[in-house]
Amino acid sequence: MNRRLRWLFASPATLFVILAMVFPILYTVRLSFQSWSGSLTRAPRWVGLDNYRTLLADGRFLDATARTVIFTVGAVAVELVLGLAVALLLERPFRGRGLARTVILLPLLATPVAIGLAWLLMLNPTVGPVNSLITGLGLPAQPWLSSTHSVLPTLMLIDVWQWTPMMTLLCLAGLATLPAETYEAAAVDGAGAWQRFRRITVPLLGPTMTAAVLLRSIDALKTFDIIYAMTGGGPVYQSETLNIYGYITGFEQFQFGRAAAIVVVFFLIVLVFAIVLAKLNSRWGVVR
Amino acid sequence: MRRATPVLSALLCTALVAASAGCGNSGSSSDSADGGVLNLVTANHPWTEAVKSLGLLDEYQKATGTKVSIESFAEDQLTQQLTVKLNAPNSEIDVVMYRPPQEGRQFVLNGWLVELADLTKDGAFDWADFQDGPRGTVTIDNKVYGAPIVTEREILYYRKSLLRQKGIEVPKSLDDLVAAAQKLDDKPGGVAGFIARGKQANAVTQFSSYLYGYGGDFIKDGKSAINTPEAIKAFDVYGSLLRDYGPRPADATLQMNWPEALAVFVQGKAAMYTDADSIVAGMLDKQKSKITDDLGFAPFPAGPAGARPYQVASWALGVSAKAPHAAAAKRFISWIASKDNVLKLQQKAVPGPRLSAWSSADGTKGFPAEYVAALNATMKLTTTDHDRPQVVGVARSREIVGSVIVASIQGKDVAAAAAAADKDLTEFLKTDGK
Repeated sequence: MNRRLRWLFASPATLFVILAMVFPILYTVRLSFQSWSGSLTRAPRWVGLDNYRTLLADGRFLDATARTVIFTVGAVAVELVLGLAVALLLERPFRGRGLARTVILLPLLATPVAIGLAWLLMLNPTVGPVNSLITGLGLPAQPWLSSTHSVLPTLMLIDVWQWTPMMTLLCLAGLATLPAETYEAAAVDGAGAWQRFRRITVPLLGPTMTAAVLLRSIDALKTFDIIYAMTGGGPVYQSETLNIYGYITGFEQFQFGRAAAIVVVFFLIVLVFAIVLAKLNSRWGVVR
Repeated sequence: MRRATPVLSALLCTALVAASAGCGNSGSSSDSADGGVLNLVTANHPWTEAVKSLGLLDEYQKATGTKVSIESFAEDQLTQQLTVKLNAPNSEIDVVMYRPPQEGRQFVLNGWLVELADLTKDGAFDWADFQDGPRGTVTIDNKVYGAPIVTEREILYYRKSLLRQKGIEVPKSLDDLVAAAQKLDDKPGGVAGFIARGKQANAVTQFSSYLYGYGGDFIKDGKSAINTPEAIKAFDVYGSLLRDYGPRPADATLQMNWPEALAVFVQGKAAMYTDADSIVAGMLDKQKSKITDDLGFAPFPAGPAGARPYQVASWALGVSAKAPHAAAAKRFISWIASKDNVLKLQQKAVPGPRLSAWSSADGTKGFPAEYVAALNATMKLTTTDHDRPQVVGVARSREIVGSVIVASIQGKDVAAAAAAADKDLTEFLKTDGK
């Protein structure tokens, strides 16, 4: 067969990739070197590295970068531990296990913006039911999303609430593939429950867990909808992640050049996360 | 990495959509649409609803032969939609509904709106019948770019029974307001003395009337004025009202825009509330409000510099610079914003821009009598024609000003916060619109 023909067969997919991915990325990179207010009658102005220089001197940008990483690492770590714990519980046979497995997945199925708005009502500090409940128990009312101190932990809590089920699901799938013989052999040799968990489950589940962490981390890094719907990045930028800052800079402040620079930096961060986790994954793969 | 690429490209595509709206030749304007179709883009706003329910567009078609087709968007999406549509070289849009205080300067800078000089010179249109503030809101560098259709003033809402119980007069000055808030504040009973917006950028518009009352402004002679003694006093008063007499727990107001503040007020959990007069419908609806029969209205209290609340055109109609039927678009605007039609729309509870409608019995019967009295009293004041900084990048300037409001609510050093924000605003003004 003509060797060139294979390029022809691949061309629709190649064309799609170029149009839908390569072009927007290159366009964004170019835009990040320009100053543009979104008007076609006022052409974009070439400003070189100005947008990047401004960002590096911008405390709000640096804070948003740190916050994005804190949010991701914090939420995903809790989700991993809780997800694994719940998966271990659900793996044992008990009455109503099917029902429990279904119920626990429910948060995963809801739309993030709808979840955000529902939590927003529940956590309303003055008229919300959560504060009514805790003051009813004699505890002090909490400002939740209104306080600069508690807003990020509250958002992480909601992320944990929504995404722990996904970790559970992935861990359950991983647990199902573990060989029963190993456990039996270990039990015969007198290994206790903790030893079996520490020496067998964790190492064998390693690849599954790194894959789960990789997927979830990239997802958490780009969290936008739930934060935007609930706080819009406030109060005083204290829940502003890079995505929110980029959106506000572009679509509320009409500084598309600077917004593009933020997106480029964000892209690099995702890239670093992905590479590190992929490396970990391949190492675990060798162990297996 | 495999995941990263689609994730990112989704983001980039969003930017691309805004960017790629137009590629081609610029359209030309013809003169008349009579017998043709005029395209109007609006917000999903009570004004639009009232225009539809009154059948005004059918009436216009019968009278002139011009069909007006409406496309409307949620308020939040309208700006993005307009950004795309007004950019498009072969734009079909003739008339746009826009928010002059928020995006007027941006639209004019981008060359999206045409001047409406002939309209203001038209005797039958009677430009002088429009309230002072709203006329200023749609005027940029002495040129008028929009016809006001919906207007807004800041007023004081209060609970009659609570003031009566404590023997408190309705506050006439900002000092009275602070004193009344202190007396009315009943934390154990769960009723705050005062409520208002505390969310950074959103609070700025309602803070503005306090600022003017103390003799300050956001920008004076092109320079930041938020670090003046007057401004610092205003920041301090606004913040301490919410900090000391606002709803609990502390900082609860920091995420409150008007829907959240309104919810606290209509639940009966606050005694006084300063905000725009346009949100009154939510208080009068007995389904949503526990305080409908206990509601009092008063003009915004006076500060040392007098009562100078904002009075703005929150919405206006403008003609797109690329309108295919510019002349017909102007004719339509002069008709829909005429005395007769503004009166009709106001009967549907849309607060209009014309003095004649507010002084007529017909034009005010959709509103409570005390509310009308408070509004008419406001219109007699020397109102201010803007409720936020008059700049191109309004969103950023609101963030800067709002940071001082938040610091004040949190009980931080107001002077230090104002100095820091002053530096930011000065820096911002150097590049704004450039």
